[in-house]
Amino acid sequence: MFRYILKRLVSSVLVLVIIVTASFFIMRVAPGGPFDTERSMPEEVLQNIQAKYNLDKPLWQQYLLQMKSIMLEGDFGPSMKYPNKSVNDILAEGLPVSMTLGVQSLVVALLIGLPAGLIAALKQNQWADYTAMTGAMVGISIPNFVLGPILIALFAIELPWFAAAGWNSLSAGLVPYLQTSVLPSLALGSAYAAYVARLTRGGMLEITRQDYIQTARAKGLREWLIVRRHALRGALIPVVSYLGPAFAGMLTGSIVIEQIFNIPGLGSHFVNSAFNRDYPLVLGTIVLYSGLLVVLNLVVDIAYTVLDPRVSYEDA
Amino acid sequence: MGDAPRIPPLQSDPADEVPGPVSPSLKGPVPASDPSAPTGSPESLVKGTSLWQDAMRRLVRNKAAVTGAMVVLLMAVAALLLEPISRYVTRFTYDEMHLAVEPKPMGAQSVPQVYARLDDSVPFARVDADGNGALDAVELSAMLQQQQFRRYDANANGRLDANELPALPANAMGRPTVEQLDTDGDGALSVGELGPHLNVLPESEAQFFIRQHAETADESTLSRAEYSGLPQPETHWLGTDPLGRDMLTRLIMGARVSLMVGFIATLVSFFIGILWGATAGFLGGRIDNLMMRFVDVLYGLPFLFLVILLMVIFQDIPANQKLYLLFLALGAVGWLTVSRIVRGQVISLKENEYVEAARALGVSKTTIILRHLIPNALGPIIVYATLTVPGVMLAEAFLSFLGLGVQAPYASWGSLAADGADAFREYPWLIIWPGLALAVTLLALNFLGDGLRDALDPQARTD
Repeated sequence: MFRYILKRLVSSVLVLVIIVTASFFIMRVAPGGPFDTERSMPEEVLQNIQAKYNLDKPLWQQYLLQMKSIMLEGDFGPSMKYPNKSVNDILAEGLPVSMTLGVQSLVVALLIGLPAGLIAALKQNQWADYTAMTGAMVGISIPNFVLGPILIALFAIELPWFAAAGWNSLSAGLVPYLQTSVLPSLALGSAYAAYVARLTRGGMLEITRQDYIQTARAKGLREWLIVRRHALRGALIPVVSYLGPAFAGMLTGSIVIEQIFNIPGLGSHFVNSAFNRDYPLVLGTIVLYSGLLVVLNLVVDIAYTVLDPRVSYEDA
Repeated sequence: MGDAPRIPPLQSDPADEVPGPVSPSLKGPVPASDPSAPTGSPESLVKGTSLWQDAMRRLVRNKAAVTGAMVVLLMAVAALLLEPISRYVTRFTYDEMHLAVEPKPMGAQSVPQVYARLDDSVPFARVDADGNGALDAVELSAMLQQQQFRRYDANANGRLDANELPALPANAMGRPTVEQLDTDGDGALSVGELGPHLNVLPESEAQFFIRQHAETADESTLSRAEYSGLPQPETHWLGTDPLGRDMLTRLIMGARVSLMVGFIATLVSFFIGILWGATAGFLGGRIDNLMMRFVDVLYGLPFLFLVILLMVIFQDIPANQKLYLLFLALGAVGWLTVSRIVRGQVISLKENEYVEAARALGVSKTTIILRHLIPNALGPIIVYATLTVPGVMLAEAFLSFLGLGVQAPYASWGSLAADGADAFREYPWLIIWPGLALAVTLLALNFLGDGLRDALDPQARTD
């Protein structure tokens, strides 16, 4: 197990290196630079600025410097567009917001998806099953950027229950927080709720065909007890393994959702920094996103072993 | 379940029903006698149904999948027929603008710029209000307003009263009411009072029409000889976008781009994935190990972020080159899973007894690959392809929504939805139509993919 985790950590670092390298060079191949849009400045000033950001050095030197400061010090350097802020500061502002939105969307996905899938499996081929599965299919097929505006129109404008835009952190109180966060997390989480429901249903159907479930039935255990004690654990394995990709999807989806609901998270920074050629901020956001993803995938894989004793990473 | 009572002790999931021995004579209703009875010709005993016939039968039984296939086909046909549809059905091209203060709602009318029908029953003299022998933009515009007015003036008294107004399509300023516009206080509305509500050919567009039809050097008026009829307004069935472009025509243009990106990017990812996976699977050993490790590492990459980066960077390249970039970038996202599936297929198929049997019979390598390996590996690949297309289309829509995908004058459903997202509170149809088109197509593709999986590869069902 320990060796497995170590191995995964090594490959995670490799992934991050690839990401940083790829983004670094994609950015630099691109036409334009961070100081193009400024009014024409004197040649000396431009040179000074470029020296400040190491832009006057050869590309490979810049790359190594950047890599060293990211990997060894965790420092992304100063932003090129917001001269008074370091990239780390900007990320530290946006991350809590994006994380809260992501976690809450995950909660939405599980809160809707698990019960729906469970009911569908227990009532297989009955109307509840068909309703839940058709609903899931519809949920998968509606893009979040269509669902978001529809939710705003229905629940912020027609029925003024929630805020149409903006963000209140939890420290502002539970009600203001929920007013701004329920709709975006619904818009972001519903497609994943649909997948979770399908996976739960499939997992349950698979498990209930197993011998040990038949044995439990033969013992005369109550159905609910069988589900809770015996079936659920195994049935959740596909769901758990889906959480990694789901989280990745939510990270990307949050870019759009944050734009629609005007939420000050990381999403807008990511796209805008690429537009502005703010090289350090691009690298910062992309490393942060990838890092989150890599860590979460590792957690999911470890959760696997806890849920399913058959999975072992000893010899992996 | 309708067929449950027939065989009560069995599980009644129709997908699990194992077809009995089937003879080729079994085309019509099932004969009462046992088809495998010795009375049948010996041939009917030997000849079974192929994998594909079996799958086809299962697919056709799946109503959702068949409906999905039909919807996708319909969308594809519409996308292919964009030009004829635009010419003969909607009569608007996808990029002609009919400027109004605000987007025109469903049912509003404009005079098409390219495919306008000319009504030659209106004599030149009637349009030429000032009788100077030349038509200018003001006269044309006013004539069309009067025509519009007469269409709604049911009792032909030259006034629209409260009973006649509801027939008038609401335009950008909403549905006109008598109280609002009745400046002379006679309880009904005249042409002048309704003014802008009847304006289907603004003077700038009338000017364009005149330039189109003018043959002499004077392009600001039409002479009697140049006049061949009054252009007729056509209806925007789904309204227009903020620039006054016909929504229905643009939706069909969007179908073309969205489907094209979906299918071509999927093809790209399958091309790379099949090549990579098949090579790894065939070669095996250390090379296989290395190639798949590479795939494992790439799996951890948030590819869509790199694609976003790529699209931002290449924002300013021409629209058609951007389309190619989209194909490649989105294709590069999906190939990893394909390579895994293909490799697994190749490895498991290589070891199959029928391959060994064929080899023992002296069948050549190419024939084994063409006749045995590929048809058997194709099932899961087709299934995965069908389920990849909606994913890719969604990714394209997502990029276009961020303003990073296709650009004007092209349109995709994602970019159309993006155009509408800012103003959806006032003009909900701007996002509802493209959103609906996208959702319906994705739903159809998903149902089709699910059905194909149940038909081709029943064991692969994991959800």
